[in-house]
Amino acid sequence: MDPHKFPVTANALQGAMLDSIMKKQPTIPWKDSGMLSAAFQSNFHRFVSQNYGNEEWTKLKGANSLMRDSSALKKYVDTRLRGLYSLREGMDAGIYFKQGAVANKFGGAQAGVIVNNAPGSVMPVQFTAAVNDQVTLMNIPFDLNYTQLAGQPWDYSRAFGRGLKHINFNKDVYMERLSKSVGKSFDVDKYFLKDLDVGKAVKGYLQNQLDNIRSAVTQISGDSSLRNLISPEELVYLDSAQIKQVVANGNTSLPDSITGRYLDKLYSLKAQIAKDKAIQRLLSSQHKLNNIITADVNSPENQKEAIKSLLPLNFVQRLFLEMRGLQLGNVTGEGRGLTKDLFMSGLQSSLLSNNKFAMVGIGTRNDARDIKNIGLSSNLDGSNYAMQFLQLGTGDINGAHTHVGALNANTKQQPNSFNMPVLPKNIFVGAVSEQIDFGAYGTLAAELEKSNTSYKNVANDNSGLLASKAAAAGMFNDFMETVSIGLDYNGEVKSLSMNQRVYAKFSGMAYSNPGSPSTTRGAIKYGLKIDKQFQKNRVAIGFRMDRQDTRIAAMGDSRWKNSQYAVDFRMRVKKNLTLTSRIGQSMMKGATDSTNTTAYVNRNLSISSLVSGRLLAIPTSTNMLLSLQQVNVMPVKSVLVNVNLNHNFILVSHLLSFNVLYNKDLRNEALYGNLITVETAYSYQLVKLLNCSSGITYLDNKSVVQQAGLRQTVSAGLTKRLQANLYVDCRKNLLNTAQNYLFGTFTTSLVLQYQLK
Amino acid sequence: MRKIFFGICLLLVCVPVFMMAQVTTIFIPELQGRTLDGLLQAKFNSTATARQRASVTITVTAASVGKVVTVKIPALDLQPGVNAFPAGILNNASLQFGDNKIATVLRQAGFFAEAEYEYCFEVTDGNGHIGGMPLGQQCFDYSLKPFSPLVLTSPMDEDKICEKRPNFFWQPLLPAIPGVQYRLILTSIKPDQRKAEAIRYNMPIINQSFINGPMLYFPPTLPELTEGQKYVWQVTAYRADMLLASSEMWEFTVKCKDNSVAVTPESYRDIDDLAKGNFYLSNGYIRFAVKNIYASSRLRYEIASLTTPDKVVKHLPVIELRNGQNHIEIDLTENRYMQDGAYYIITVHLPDGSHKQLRFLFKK
Repeated sequence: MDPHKFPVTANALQGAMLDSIMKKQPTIPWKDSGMLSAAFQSNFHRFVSQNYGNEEWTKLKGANSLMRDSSALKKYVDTRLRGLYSLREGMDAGIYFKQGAVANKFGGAQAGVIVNNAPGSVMPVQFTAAVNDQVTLMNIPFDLNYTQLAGQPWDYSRAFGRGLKHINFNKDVYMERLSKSVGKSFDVDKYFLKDLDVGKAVKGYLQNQLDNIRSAVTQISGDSSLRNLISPEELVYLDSAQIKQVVANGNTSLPDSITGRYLDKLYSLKAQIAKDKAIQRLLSSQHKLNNIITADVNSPENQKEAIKSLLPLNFVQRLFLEMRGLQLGNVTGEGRGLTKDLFMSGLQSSLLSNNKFAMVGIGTRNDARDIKNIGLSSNLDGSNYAMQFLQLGTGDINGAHTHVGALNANTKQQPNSFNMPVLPKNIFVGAVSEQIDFGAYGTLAAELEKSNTSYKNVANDNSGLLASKAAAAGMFNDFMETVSIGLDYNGEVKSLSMNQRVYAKFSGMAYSNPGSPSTTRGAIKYGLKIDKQFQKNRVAIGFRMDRQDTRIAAMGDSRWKNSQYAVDFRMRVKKNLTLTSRIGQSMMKGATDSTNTTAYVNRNLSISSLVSGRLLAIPTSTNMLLSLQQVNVMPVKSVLVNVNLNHNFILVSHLLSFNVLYNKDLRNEALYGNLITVETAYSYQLVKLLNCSSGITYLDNKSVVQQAGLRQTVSAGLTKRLQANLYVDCRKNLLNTAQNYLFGTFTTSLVLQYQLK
Repeated sequence: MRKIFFGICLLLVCVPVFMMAQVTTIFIPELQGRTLDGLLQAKFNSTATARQRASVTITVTAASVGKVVTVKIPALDLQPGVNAFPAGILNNASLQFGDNKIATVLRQAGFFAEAEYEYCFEVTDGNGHIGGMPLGQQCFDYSLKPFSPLVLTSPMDEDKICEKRPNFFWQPLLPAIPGVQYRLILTSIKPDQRKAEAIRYNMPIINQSFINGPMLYFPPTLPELTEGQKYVWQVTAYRADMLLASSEMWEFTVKCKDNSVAVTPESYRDIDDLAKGNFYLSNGYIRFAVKNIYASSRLRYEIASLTTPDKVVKHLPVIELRNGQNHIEIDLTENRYMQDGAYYIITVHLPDGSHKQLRFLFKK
């Protein structure tokens, strides 16, 4: 709560503060004249000019009326006065703040190499190194990350290398840093006047005012017989008629003109009090008000207020105080519909001040550089764009908000993009997004996007003339074809131990948004997800459904219909026995006006158990999974049985584990072959530093590959901060065929990690 | 009128040109005929012995609506042998879209909707000015059905799974085109990392290509996934070196340990202190410390209900009392005689002959 919104309370508290400051220097007299004494002024001067510079003091003096009722000045003085009041003995905020304004903190490093000779491995040799650092400039901390990825692709073509950079303004550390600075020089509790007895201060202030009124009236009338019968409590609690009654009863001998003047002044003071809601609650329950005024000194708003008014911040520091985030380098889009799942190199920044939100981003998207696309040289769709986006509105993007946004993208060709010819085009997307918060009942997010594409050198069919227009100009062209509308409800009912999600999304067939690579077009998507727990989480049931109908014909009703359903059941039968089960179906149909063909079905029933207990007095845990799966990929039909058994024996500090995985196609269509893998491993500590595990493996993929091998892991805490992990899996092929693309004979990884905590 | 003119041209010019065509077009309609950018990936084989200047006009017509688009690329140098359009932005290409719904979808989103198409490539001598000698003209017919979305199946998005070597399933890319294969990438997600960031910054755990069917066994040579860790995976469909479609990025968490039993480490207070305080709130367990100076024996104790005194509490766990300091934990969570919210009294008989009593409220 901000005391200056309540003039009476503020005045009262200022008085109390000044009293307290004066008590430290008893020689300086303080008069309740509304003006500050010369000695106090010099003390205040020293504080302001030392901490906030001499100009501020000059400006203040120019106003030439400390404590005169100009609200801006008053607010200023109030915060500064509170600053002086809360200043710790012998501290100088400015000097401390400037100390350590520049700093560097090494955050750790990591390096790893993985070798995997599986025939279909995209990069059989991969190398990674990452360094983290935190640099602080002008007290503003930035996290720096540099990640180098490198590797040798499977086809021994040009070696892959990508350096990723990320600079991120760390708001949390910034606030912590500034708060620490405040805390070092100032007593924050005192700044929020937590130590003052608010009730006493206000009562004292009102008593003072009442005394002033009485003496003023007495002076004018020259009659000293007016008796002050109104106490501060009465002034607050009695209405005007009651006050009149009290005054009249106590001063029967006085003429009406004098009591009338007295009453007028009382009423005006009462009117002032009436504006001050805090006062109403004050006298009755002063304890509560103390809490209200000093509510949560450490809340982010109060923290920010204390920082803003107490520290000598410069323009940049003030700007970063309002800034929500700033990312530079290879960054991810933060947006919902407009820039969902966007990865680009560039800049993204957002501000949140007084609930006003602004986000801006500039960058280029280039999918060809992704690890997953190594070796691919062209794409069906454009995937290299230069783009700019902006989003404005009220409320944070992750909370309740109302935003409008726009994105502009142009095709681009970079040295490392897909090696293909591209037609130059410009895409503009406009967006409106709204999120409503129902408190305990969840949130509802709604969004609408509309895209428009324009090509360079397009001729109208009739004129044949070439024209080039920015896409933004034709924003409302082909409305239904290029619009995307989404609704998403997420909720939780704690009392019913239930959470749920319902969503629906429509996108026109020609909707196109390069800022949101995973966007679907021509689709109606909808779904539902419910999880509910019973009996204090002993039993849980879940259901989810996701459906997507994708239109593929501009005319007529031809679609792909994708659907997925799953029902989950989990039950903790006993403390050491949990059963889970899932029934699921995933399906795709191709539908036209007249036909509806099932193109893909995957039905699955699985049951698993988790048991812990003792076997011959040895603590054990067993995890077993049994599933029956029907997979039809036209024209192949398979029925698979999967069994996964994982058994662990705990032998004091050692662990012996045994793992069997068995997949069999009952129809012998051999779409996936029949696979059995058996593994055992023994974990142990070699010396104090080394944690090891050794194991034997066996694999048989019927008539494709058969292997037996050894597996070893070593984990070493070399120093307190340096950790090394080694993993080696080597096998010998007892049988190998050309169909084998998955099962290699050698995998190793070595990771070194240097962590600073 | 244009069509008639075009028809006459075909009759008069194309037939002889075909016979002595100097340039033939290499075009795979089932792939390159799907998008506007795909059309430009057509290649041209020139049989001429020297470099020649040429222009290319690509016209796509749909049986149902007529002309969909015409792309003109002027001024192209054709070398002897196979030629492709130069990589990069074709700034000098000009476009003409038809006035129909198929053309609208193409103009706005860049892909061809379902239809019977005819793709014609016309290579002309010179800079594309009228009167250039035709070097070759070729048309391709294809009944196009746009690809289905590449939808992931299992592990489901935001799922919690128990398997540390999960198998991956997705829905195939249809219609099936010969030679289409899949890639799958799996990466861990660090705390505070977004999916799109994790999949680029973190070294992949699986980055597998040449997958023929819509599933992948967890590669047996890899270390198993880590309990509590979040992962992201994505599937890409491709043919030879051409990317056809990418799925969404889905995440899942390996979470096998049952978290419904909250394990809160509690201290063991001395039984004398507990007995003195004489009130205890049990969350399913009774914990106390007791010193036994005698030989090891079985701890004798009984529990009686204060709320319903007639009900006897049976099947109490057997507790061994060792010599020295003992930390006793009596587990009553699974005891069906214990009622939630009822008051009980436990009497512990110590080997020295003394007995301690403790009243407690039982809350599961």
